[in-house]
Amino acid sequence: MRTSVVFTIMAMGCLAVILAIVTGDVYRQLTLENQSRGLANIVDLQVSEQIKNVREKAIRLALSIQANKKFRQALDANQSKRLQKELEDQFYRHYVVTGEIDIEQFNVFDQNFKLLASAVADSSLLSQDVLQCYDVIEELKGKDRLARLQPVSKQCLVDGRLYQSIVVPVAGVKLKGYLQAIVDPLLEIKNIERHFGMPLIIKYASQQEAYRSESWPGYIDPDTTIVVEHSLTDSSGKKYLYINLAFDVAELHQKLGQTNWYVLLGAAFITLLTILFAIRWLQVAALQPLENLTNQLMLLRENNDRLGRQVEVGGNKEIRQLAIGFNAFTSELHEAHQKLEMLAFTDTLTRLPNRELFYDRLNQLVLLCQREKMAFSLFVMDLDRFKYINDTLGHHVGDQLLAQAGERLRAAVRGADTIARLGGDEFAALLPKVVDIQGAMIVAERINAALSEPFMIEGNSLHASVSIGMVMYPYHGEGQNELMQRADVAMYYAKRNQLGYALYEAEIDTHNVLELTLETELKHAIQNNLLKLYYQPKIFIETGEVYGVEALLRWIHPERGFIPPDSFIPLAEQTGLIHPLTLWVFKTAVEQARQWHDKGLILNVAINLSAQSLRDPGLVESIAIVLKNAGLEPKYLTLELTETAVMSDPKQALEILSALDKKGVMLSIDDFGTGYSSLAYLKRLPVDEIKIDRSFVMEMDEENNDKVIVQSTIDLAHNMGLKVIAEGIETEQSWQTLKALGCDMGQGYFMCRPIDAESLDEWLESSDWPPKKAK
Amino acid sequence: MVKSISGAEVVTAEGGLAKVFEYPGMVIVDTRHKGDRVQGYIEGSINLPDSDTNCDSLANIILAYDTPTMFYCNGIRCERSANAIHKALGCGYKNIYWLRGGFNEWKAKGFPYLRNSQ
Repeated sequence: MRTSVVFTIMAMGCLAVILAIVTGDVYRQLTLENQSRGLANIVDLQVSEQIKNVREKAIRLALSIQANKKFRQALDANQSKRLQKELEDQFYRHYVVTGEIDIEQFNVFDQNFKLLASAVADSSLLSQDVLQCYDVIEELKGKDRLARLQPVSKQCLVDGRLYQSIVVPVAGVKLKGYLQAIVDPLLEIKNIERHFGMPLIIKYASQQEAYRSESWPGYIDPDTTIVVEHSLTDSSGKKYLYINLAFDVAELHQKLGQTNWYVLLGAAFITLLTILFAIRWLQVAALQPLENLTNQLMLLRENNDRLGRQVEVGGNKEIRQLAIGFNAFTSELHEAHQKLEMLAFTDTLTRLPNRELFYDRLNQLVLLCQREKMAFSLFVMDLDRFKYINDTLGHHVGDQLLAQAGERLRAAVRGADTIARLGGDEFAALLPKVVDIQGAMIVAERINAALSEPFMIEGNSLHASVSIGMVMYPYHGEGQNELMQRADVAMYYAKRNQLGYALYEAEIDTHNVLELTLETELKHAIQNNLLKLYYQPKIFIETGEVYGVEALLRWIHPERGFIPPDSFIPLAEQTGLIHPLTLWVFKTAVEQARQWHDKGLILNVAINLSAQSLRDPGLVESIAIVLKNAGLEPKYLTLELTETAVMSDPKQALEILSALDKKGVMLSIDDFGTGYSSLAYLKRLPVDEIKIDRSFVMEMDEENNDKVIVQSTIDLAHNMGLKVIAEGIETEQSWQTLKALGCDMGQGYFMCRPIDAESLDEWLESSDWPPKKAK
Repeated sequence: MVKSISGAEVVTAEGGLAKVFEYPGMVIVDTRHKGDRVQGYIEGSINLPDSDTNCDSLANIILAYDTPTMFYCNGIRCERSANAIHKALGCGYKNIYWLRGGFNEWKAKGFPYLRNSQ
C-alpha cells in the first residue's frame, strides 16, 4: 500500500515537472515574439526619425543656398550660366567636400516654375529623372502665396529607387523662384545599422538590394537571430522600401534558456519538497500511527503486562479514533485481567497479596538473589490481641482490625516491598532492599510504631500490637520453607518475650520443646474449649449464706492430666495468649452467673485478673461488652487482683480500677499480706474488699502472729469501709476464729472445694450453706 | 519680458508676411547690430540698430507717419525691436507691427531669408 501511494505521488510530481517544461517553452516563444514586435516598433521609429532628419538637413541646405548672395544675384540677373555655375559650386561644396548629405540633384525654377538651372551627381540621370520628382512642383502650384513661401518635401521613386525631394522658395518677402534638392535618404537610413549595432539590408520594392551590411549573416539561425522587416508605404498603401534588421538574440536566448532552466530547477525542487512532505505527512498521519498500533498489538500478544498501556498516536481523525478504540479496549481488558489476578492472588479482606502470591514472590526473590548473590529480609508478623478482640467484639470488628492493620503495614514499608496476609491474623513482609540487620530493625520498629497506635473501630479504641519474626536471606536459610519456618520461630520468640520483634538466632530455635508444645496445645485448648472453669463458693461467715463464687481456671490435658494454672498462666502471659484466655474466662463465668441468676440463684462471680490484663487498655471496654451481652449487672462481677499485679504499675492500675469501679464492677485485692502494699495505699484504690492470703488463715490457729495480722487487717479494712474475705479455711476452728474476729466472708475446703458448675448446682441444693435467693 | 506695446500690433512670421502682401510699401526695420545680420536677414529689411534709432534716422527710412512699418530683432529675448518701437511711437509714427519672434521664428518656420556671404 505504501509503495503504491509513493508511486502515485511521484507520478504526480513528474507530471508537475513536465507541465513546468511545457509552460516554460510557451513562455519562451511568447517572449521571442514580444521581442520581435518590440524591435519592429523601434525600427519604425528609427526609420521615421532618419527620414525626418534627411528632410530637415536638405531643407536647411536649400535655404542656406538660396540665402547666398551670389546665387541671388545670378538669379536676379536671370543669367542661366552663372546660376548653373553657382549651383554646381554649392553642389560641390556640400556633396563632395562636406559629404554630410547624399545630394543627387539641384534644380532652380523661376516663380513660374520654369527650370532655370540644374546640377546632378551623375550626369546620365539628368534629363528624364528630374521629371520623375516633379510631383512636388505640381503640388506647390496648387498652393497660395503665403504657403509657397514655405518648404515642401516629398519622396519619389526613380527606377525603383527612393529619393527625397524638397523645394524651398527663393525669396525675401517677395517670391523670386524655387530651389529643388533631390537627395538619397539611404545614407541616413543606413545610420540605423550604427545606431543598433545590427546588420541591415535595405531593399527596394523590386527586391533589388539598396544596401547590405558586410556583417549580414550568411545563414540566419532562428535560435540566435531575429530578422525584423520594416517597410515604408506611400500614400496609396504601396510598399516601396524594405528595411531588414538582423538582431542577435543569442544572449537573450541564452538568458531565456537559463531562466527556463532555473524555473525548471525550481519546479523540480518544489515538486521534490512537495513529494517529501506528502510522504512524510502520509507517514505521520497514517502509516506511523498504524504501525504504532500494530506494534502495540504485537507487544500485547507477547506480554500481558502491557495490557492497559495507552497508545498515543497523532495522525488523522480516523487513526486517532482507532487509537481511542484501542485504548478503551486495552484498558477494559487490563481491568478485567487485573480483577482476575486480584481475585486469585489478593486477600479480599485486606486487599493485600494472599499466601499464594506471597510464596510466589518469595520463590522468585530467592531465585533472583541466588543468581545475583544478593540478600533480602523476610518478616512474619502476628497481631498480639487479635483473637481476644475477635472473640470479644465479634468477627466484623476483627475483620476491620485486620483491614486497618493491613493498611498500616503497607504504609510502613516501601512500594517495592510486599506485605501479604498469610491467613488469620498472620501477615508477612518481603523486603528485597533490606539487606542488613540494622535496616531490618529499623523497618521492624517502624511497623511496631505504626501498629501501636489504637485502632478506632465502631467507636472502640482498640490496641493490637504486633510481634515480628525476622530472617534474612541467605544467612538464615536458603529455601523458602526454611526461611518461613525460622521467621515463625523468631516471631514466637518475640511474642513470648514481648519484644515486639526478634531476629532469628540458632539459640532461640533450640527452645524448650515442651514449652512450645504446651503453647501450641494451650492455643488449641482455648480454641476448642478444652479449658474449664471451677467455682468455689464465697460464704458470709455471720449468716452462712453463699455470697458468690470464685471462678478458677482448670486445664485437664487429655494426656498429661491436670495442669495447674501456675504452670500455664505465665506461659499464656508471655505468648500473649493471656488475652484470649482472659476473655474466654470472662465470657464463660459471666454467662454462668447469668444462668444461675435465671434459676433464681443470685450469685456474685469473681474472676482473677492477671497483671498483664491490667495493662490492657481495652480491658474495661471488653468487660463492659461481655456484661452487656450477657445482661448481667456489673455488681455481680468481682475482679480479683493480686497485690503484686496492682503494685507493678500502680498508676495504670489506679486508672483501670477507677474505670471499672465507675462501671459498677466489684474489686477485690487477692492474696493480701503477701506483698508490700499498705492498707494506706489501698485506701486510694476504689476496691470493695480484700482477701486475706490463705497462708495467714491456715496458720493463724497455731501462730499467734498470723492471728494478730488477720485481726488487725480485718479491723483496719473495716475502718476503711472494706469488706474482708478469708481464703484457705480448712477447719471448723478456723471458721469459728474468723467469726470471732468479725471477718465478713470465708472461702475454703472446709465449706467446699472448687467444683464445676454442675456440681456446684448440686452442692447448693444439698449443702447446709444456703444460697442467696432472688426475691 | 515685454509681451505687447500699446500703439504697436504684435505679429507672427505668417502674420507679418500677410501684412507685407497687404501693404507692398511696408518698411521692415531690422533693429539688430550689423554683426547679427551675418547669420541671415529678411530680404528688404533695413538695418537700423535701436541704439541709432531717433526721429531723424527714422524719418530717413520711413516715408510718412502712417506708413506701415514692421520691427524685428533676434527673438523674443532681444529687446531692441521693442526699444525702437517705443522711440518710433514717440516720434509719432503709426501702423507699427512688431514681429516679436524675430529672425529666429522666421528662420525656424522655413521662410526664405538672405545672407551676405562670399
